[in-house]
Amino acid sequence: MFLGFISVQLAMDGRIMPKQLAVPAVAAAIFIVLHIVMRIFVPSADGLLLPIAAALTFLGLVMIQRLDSKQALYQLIWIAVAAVCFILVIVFERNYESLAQYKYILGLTAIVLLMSTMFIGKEVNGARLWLQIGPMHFQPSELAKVLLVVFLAAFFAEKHELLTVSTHRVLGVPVPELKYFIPLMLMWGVSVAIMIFQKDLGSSLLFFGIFISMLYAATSRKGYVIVGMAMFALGAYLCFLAFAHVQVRFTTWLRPFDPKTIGNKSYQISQSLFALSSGGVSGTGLGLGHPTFIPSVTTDFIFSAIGEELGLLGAAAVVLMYVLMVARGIKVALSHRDDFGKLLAVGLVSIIAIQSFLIMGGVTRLIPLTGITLPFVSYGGSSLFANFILLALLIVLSHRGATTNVTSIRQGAKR
Amino acid sequence: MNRQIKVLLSVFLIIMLAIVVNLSWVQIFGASKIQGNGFNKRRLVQEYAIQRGDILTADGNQPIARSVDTGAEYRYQREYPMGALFADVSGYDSWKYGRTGLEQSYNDALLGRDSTLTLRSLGNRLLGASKKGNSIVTTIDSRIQRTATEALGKDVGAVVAMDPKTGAVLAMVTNPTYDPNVAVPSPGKDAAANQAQWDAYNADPHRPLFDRAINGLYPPGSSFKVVTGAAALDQGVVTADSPFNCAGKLVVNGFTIYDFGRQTHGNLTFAQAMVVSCNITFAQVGLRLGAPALVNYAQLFGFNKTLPFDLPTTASHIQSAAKMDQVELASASFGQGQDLATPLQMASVASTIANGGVMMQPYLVDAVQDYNGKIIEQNQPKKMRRVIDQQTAGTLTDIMVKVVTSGTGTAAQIDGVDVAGKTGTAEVGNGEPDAWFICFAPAQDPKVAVAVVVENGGEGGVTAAPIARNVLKTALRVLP
Repeated sequence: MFLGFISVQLAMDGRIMPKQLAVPAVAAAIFIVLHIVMRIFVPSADGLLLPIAAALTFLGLVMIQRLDSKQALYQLIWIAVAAVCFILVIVFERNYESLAQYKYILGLTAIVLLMSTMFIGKEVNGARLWLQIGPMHFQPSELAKVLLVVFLAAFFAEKHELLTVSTHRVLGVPVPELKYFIPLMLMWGVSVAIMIFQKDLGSSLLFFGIFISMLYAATSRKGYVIVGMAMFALGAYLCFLAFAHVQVRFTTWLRPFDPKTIGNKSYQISQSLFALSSGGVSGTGLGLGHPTFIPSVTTDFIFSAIGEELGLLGAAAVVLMYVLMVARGIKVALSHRDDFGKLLAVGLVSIIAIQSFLIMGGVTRLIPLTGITLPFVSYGGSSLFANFILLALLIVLSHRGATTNVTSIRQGAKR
Repeated sequence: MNRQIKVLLSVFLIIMLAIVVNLSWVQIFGASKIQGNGFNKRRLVQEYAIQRGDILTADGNQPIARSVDTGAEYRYQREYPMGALFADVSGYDSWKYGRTGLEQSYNDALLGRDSTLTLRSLGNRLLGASKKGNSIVTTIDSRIQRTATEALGKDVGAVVAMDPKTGAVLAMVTNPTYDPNVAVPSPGKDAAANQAQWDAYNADPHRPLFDRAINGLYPPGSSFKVVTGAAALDQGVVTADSPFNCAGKLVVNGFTIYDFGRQTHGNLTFAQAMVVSCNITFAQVGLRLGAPALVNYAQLFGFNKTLPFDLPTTASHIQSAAKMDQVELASASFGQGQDLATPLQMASVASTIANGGVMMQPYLVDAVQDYNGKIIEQNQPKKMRRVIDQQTAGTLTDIMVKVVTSGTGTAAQIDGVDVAGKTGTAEVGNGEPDAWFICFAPAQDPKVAVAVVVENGGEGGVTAAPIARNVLKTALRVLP
């Protein structure tokens, strides 16, 4: 990270400014503190999760410094705030089971947070995602996704047997009782509502992806997955017909270089592709490319900036870090014996996997572009705040997974 | 439940793999196709991030073109402080319209990316100077350039002045011309007015963007008699005193050639024929010389081949000997028929005579400097070839001095200086003839050679000679 900061300074200003190295120094100090806290309160936690998150956060900080040095300072403040939340979760939520008791409150809070922007939200870049509190902007969907995962984990842990039992058949497919479809319908409704009212295709896809993943893990019914996806596809298709902003996403995905739209509607995606293509294998070098041509480059398009200046190697390294984080998270899920812990871990991992896939796939034109942040890397307080809570929960889970296994093996040995 | 979680893991791994696969397409295998898109402004931005070097005059290194830091996306943009005065020399460098002139031909040097990686340039690069280009020092003297521009005035035509001993071009003027600043739509300018002016340049029937000095082809008329005379004297076909008779007309293969203005010169020597510019005598000289010799000498002077120069030139033209019949040979001998020459070509002809028969390669750039003003490349004058004997050149010079003292070129006389010159009045398809004057001075130790052409200017001795005289006077005053 220090090397990154120094090379950015050299490339942008042609000299080293030692004072500005305070930013990476503080960031490094924060993660050292987090590590110590982790070792004290949850000593058996997975040792890789925090370093991976740190690497992603540092990479993000270096890129933000390069793209918009003013934002780097804010990002550092957000990291500090998020770190405090991380510590609070580690210290007070070590007994994560207690969360299950508040599942309906948490679920309701999530829905309220999501719906709040529809009425009192502020529209930025054509999407209604922001709440303004004084001078601060807050994106409630970031926190809502974590709360929703907790709710769903608790709900499924309690009800998954009921959902799996099928009482009658429709067209030869075993289907459970209709009342158990209600949560499915509800989630579908929430996702479509986000798409319609908030014009936020990214969050909509993310919520539904998380839901389907957890539903599948909990019930092992492929039928749910197929029905769910079909319903979402139907909803998406209807929205495509009805709303211009959804149509734009698709047409610019299919034809990003259309001369008619390249100056306006497909400007972002085409600029992103120009940036990536100029990166090549090893990139232009930090501070030596032109990623600032891409609008919102520090938030949604930070992955394109990484691709341009650090090349395919740098971009693939980022993907690899998410893969590692997901793999470690899945290991945590497997290590747990209770359903709530398992499902909670699966849900949290799904957030990381699906969110990073949606945005990385979007800016590289693998899938239609949807505006969401790249976890830990993108600039933004709400995003960092939510992702650090997510990380803390996952670390707590990994600690508990490891310790319960040890005790159960010991108990088994005693018998 | 663990089985499903493992299935989820595989799904997540597959979608992540898909990203890397797609990314390697976008960044490597399909990258050049994406980069080539016209809407990708990265290449331009990279070029304009470099502080392009200056283009300087020979006298006191005044900037003809310099870079201005606009702070905009295309950061360093061009400014031409002297407006239209050097337009045909510098050309323009514009992200909108591309490049011409020295901006084009010395682009790599101006951007500082010469292929020659010397120890110094490597050192500069390591010291972070890679974003500063090199400057080029031209051979153009601003005082001569200004005089030539003023002397030409509103006349459509061109002036080229050269140092006959080196081939260095001292002035190069074409009229009408344009303001290269108009080609650079830099921030802060009135974009609409700029565009309107640019469109007007392109719509103008006189083509101000066209460089007549190096690309304009004109029938050279009697100024070509210098070439015919040089060939005939050098081959020993005639001497200065060879007797000729002009009956006002000459019948060749049943075709009657009349002299200019249907004059009759009677008995006269070869030298006198040059002084009064007698077409009938030169038709006879050409017939005596033969097509192969005439064409050969014209080609030695540079015809039928683009002159090597720092800017792209158009080749002057003479019919090939094999295709030339006797009538065409007779007309070609006094610069009509199919003869066509650029002002740069005719300036080279005058220079070659002035330089004792040795043709120097014309050039426009004297040196390339790095951003510290250190010369990193010095252009040396290049001898192209010996065209005629020194003795022939001397004889021809003496005759050309008489053209100015007592012949058709008296308007080019300068007090106390021997001027050698030759007029040309070239008949053209439409309107008044094109007026030519080629000359050099001082005749015994030439410092400057000049060619002037004025389109539809009438008689060379009346229209072109006074312009050449002004240029000579300034050059003799300012040159060391």
